Amino acid sequence: MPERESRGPQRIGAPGAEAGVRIREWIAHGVVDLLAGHERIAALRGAIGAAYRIDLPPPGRAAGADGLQFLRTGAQRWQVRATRDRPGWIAALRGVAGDAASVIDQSCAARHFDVDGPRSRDALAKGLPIDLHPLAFKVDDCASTMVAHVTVSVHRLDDGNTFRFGVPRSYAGSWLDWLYASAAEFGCEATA
Amino acid sequence: MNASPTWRLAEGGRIDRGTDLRFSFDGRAYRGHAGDTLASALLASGVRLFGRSFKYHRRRGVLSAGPEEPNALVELRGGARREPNTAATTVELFDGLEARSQNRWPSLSFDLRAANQWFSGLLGAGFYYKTFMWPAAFWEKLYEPAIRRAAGLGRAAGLADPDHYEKAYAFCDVLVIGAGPAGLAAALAAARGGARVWLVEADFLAGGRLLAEQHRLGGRPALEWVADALAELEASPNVRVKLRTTALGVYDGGVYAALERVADHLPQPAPFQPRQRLWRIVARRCVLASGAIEQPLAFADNDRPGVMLAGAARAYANRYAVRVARRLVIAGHADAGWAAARDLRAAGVEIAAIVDARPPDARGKGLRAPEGVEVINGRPLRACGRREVRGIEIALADGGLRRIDCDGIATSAGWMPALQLATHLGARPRWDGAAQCFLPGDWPAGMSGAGAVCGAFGLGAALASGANAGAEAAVASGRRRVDCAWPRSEDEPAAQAGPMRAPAMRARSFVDLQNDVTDRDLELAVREGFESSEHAKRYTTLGMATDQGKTSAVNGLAVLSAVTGRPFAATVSTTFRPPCVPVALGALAGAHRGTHFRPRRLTAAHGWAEAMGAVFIESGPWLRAQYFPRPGETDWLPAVCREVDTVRNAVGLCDVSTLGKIDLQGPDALEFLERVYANGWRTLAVGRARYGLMLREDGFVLDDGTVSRLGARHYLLTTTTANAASVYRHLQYCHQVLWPGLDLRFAAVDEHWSQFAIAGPRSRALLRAVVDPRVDLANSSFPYLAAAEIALADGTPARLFRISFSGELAYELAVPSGAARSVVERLMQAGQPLGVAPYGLEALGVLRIEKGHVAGAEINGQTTAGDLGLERMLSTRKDYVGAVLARRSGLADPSRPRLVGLRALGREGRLRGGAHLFAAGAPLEAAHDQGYVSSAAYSPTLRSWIGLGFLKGGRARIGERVRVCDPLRGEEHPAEVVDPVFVDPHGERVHA
Repeated sequence: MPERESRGPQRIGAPGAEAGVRIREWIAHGVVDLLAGHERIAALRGAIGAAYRIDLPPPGRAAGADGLQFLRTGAQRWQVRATRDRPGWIAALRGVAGDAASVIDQSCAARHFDVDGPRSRDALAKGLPIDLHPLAFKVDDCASTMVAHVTVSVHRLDDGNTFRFGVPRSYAGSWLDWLYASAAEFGCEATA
Repeated sequence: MNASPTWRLAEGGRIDRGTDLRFSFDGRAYRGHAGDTLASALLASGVRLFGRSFKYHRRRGVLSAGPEEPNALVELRGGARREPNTAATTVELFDGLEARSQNRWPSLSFDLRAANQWFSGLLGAGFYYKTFMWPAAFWEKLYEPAIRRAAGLGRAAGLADPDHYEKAYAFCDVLVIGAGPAGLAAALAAARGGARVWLVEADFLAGGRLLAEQHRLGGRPALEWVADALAELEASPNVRVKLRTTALGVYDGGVYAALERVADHLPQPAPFQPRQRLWRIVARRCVLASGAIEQPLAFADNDRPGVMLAGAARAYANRYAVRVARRLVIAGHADAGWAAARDLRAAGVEIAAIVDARPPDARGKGLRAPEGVEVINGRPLRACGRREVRGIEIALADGGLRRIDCDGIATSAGWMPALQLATHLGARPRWDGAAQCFLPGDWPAGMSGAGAVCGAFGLGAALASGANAGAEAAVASGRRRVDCAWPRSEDEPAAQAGPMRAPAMRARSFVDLQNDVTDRDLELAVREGFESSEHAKRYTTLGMATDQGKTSAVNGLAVLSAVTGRPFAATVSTTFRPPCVPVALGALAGAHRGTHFRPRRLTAAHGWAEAMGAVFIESGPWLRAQYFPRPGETDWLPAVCREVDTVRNAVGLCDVSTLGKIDLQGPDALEFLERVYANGWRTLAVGRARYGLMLREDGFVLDDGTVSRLGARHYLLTTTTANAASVYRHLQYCHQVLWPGLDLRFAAVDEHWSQFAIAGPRSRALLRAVVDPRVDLANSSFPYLAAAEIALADGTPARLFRISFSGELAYELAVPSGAARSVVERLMQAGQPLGVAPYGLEALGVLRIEKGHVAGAEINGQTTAGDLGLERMLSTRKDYVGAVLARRSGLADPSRPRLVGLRALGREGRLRGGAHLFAAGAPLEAAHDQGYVSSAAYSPTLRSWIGLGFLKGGRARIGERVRVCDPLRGEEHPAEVVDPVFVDPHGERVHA
């Protein structure tokens, strides 16, 4: 894998008019783990539904409403990301969840990267052990998986092969090295 | 001077005569065309000698035209790209290719090691088990090194590979392996049914045997149909066609491995292009259309250059427009040889005779020799000619003997399905009496076959079976069945007899050409009791070369059958293991080499440490600051001593973000703590922290750390850096498997929170400068082991713990990682008047050893709480993980080595981790070994080397003098056994 010199906006790999892969860092306005208590999922579902008019998504799915994105990340857990500035939303969510769930702040735990472009799936196939074909991984499907020895989350944002990755902050540099090396063949435009 | 390609036919072939490619072999320049392989281009230039054999260094030519090649193995390229042992029959020619023969000295045509043949009596099967046994001392010093030097074929580059390699994942409904007629039909049928299809083909052209033979389909040349099929597949959005891609292995769960040779056919990869890519393909269904491999005949001197498979001779004529001989004898017992005779004669080769072991009535119906070609009922006895084929001796069926002059012998002992992949999950091939070949036994789950691999040797049968298998695979993977009309074909007769053993002769008859295994080796194996095919294989190495016996295993079974008297149908075929062709180690490593061997973790304040001039060290996946040298400090020791002094006398700052941090909440959180920790938690008040000890289920210590109670039902656990992941996993196991009914929730928060140790007598003053002025840091308000959620002066949320690893007045301040760098820079700035200095991992280690705190070197998976002097932490009032097994007699044995401090004596005295402890005066023998040093450091505070270690008798021996022996480094020093707490034994400083 080639070493990269800087993390700024840059064109990496094969030249060409259009980059095959585009990588941009996405900044969340806060991220929490929402952890349901023992046999408290129904209560949590009711509370969240009433407060945010959203049905908590089933395993492998994400759902968004009103600037909050809920991703099911485990049997009893969701990750909630604020997609726009909503001051006080974490405390408010804590209030909504009450005894049914714990809200643990993870706002600085991961960096998020949006990967798209006509060859994004080809580049991601060099490390992602899950099937990203639109028939298999639809819009708002999400998963947690190992990529280049790092556990990451992946969420399909649209039909145009845009995927959002959540990468543990301490591993992000190493992971980007892998991603840039994988995308270089197709030409890569990076703002991360 | 270039050799002229006199053996090239004037027309025909799938080569581009307009594109000349220059290449060299053993330093001599040659020319070929695009579409040639190295083998075809050399044959076209009249080269017949390609290499020397593995053991006897016999002259070898080309046997085949494909990946099954056992003889023509060459070295390619040069410098760091030099690669050994590539079959010339698979090397796609490119301009500038450098190739060399291998395993010869001084030259290919004159190889002194051919003298090995004279000693063949000493070098027979299993010779290394019995020949070089005496005198025993010679084995290690002489015999083994000599045998190892002689072994092997080509030479690896010995330099770092300049190219890069990749791994990639693919998913599909139907994986089709092989793009011959059956594979193309299967892929078309599956794709037309809507399936996501992957079609992989090892060759650089699709078509399989249609490239090597001359067929018509639906009234037009078959290759036109191939081109149409390929065009349709490549235009289909749900199909990926991968040429130059070899399926290597079949694994459980519908997983297949395939190697794509992305740039092997180029002088070097284009920028950003990988050399090779290893695919892990997950397929709902797989259609194996790998075709068949023609088997050679084993007869005396059957390895002479000029002896070739009939199908290969046919491929060279039809695909590469190369005449492999002027006058050829076709020998064998399969109809396929007759078809080859027809094509070869059409290419201008004189066919001297067809020698068929089968009586006329056992041959295929309608089988006709080309006009004027003599057909002889008999079997080849011997290839004549010393350097290459000059003739053939034939044992006639009626008992006579006959010699025919020729410069080539093309053999066909019939086609055997290329079923290697079908056996990778353990199923043995079965002998099919009707088809006279081995067929796949039980198919791996999800796999079916099509074409010759299933015994469908005719073109029409191959197409039909491919179409059917493809359509069925589409349905089985949830798509539609689409039945299409397929073009009609005129099939050749394809009858064949099973393998036969050649008549015994004085000269050697090679069964396995690559490993130089003869029929006599197999006889010997049977005589020595290795009768089963699996035993004989291992004893003789038959089929164990890189070609995995693709052209030898069946003939080997024929010899075993003849020698043991067992009917051939009762012999048991060996099985094959992945990978079915050799794979470069680079492809297996993929992108993860060098510094990318594993991912590297950096703390959020890494940039700050870099700016402070830190020297970094790998600590598991983390890159941590080891020490922060200042100008004039040329070595680590003065820097570390200064950092330790700073902590002991002023204030130091250390990034301890790598510690594991687990946020635990819920009504049953306390009960959970009680069960997973050995010590009790019921008395831990909100706002307080406590040291905790976790045992494994087997009673040994798992980890230590702290638990802080942040709320009535809210705790924060810390773990050691090394065990962060394993403790989290252990807690998940405990919750999800052992006690799922407990109502608690926890998450690892190591990434969200960064944490800094602020240690030293001035730490309170430093902290005062950055926290919210309303936070009361007075000793009475925030005493030792206090914990609180606070804010910094600028409002940043933080968590503050008064805990100390150094033994000084100390705090740990946690802040969200996004603020880590600015907070640590503020601390440094505010600490300037206080003499603050950053300290690294080395000083951290010195400080904790001086204080007698155990760490990873002591909690090493082999120590108990008692060994560590922590037995008082084992609660007797509750049950917890590890409680029962910690009471095992072996673990509670009072004679176990226990933690002590060690202080080196004398001016030169030095301690090192791993050194062994002996009583003064005791001999340095394992029986007298009394323990070991686990951690050692130079203590600037005590001005001597000190250490922690485990010693039999433990603290009862305080004051005793022991020998500290380090046989690895050849050192021995005396040391005094002391209390493990060297500094502030009464803990006055931490409470200050």
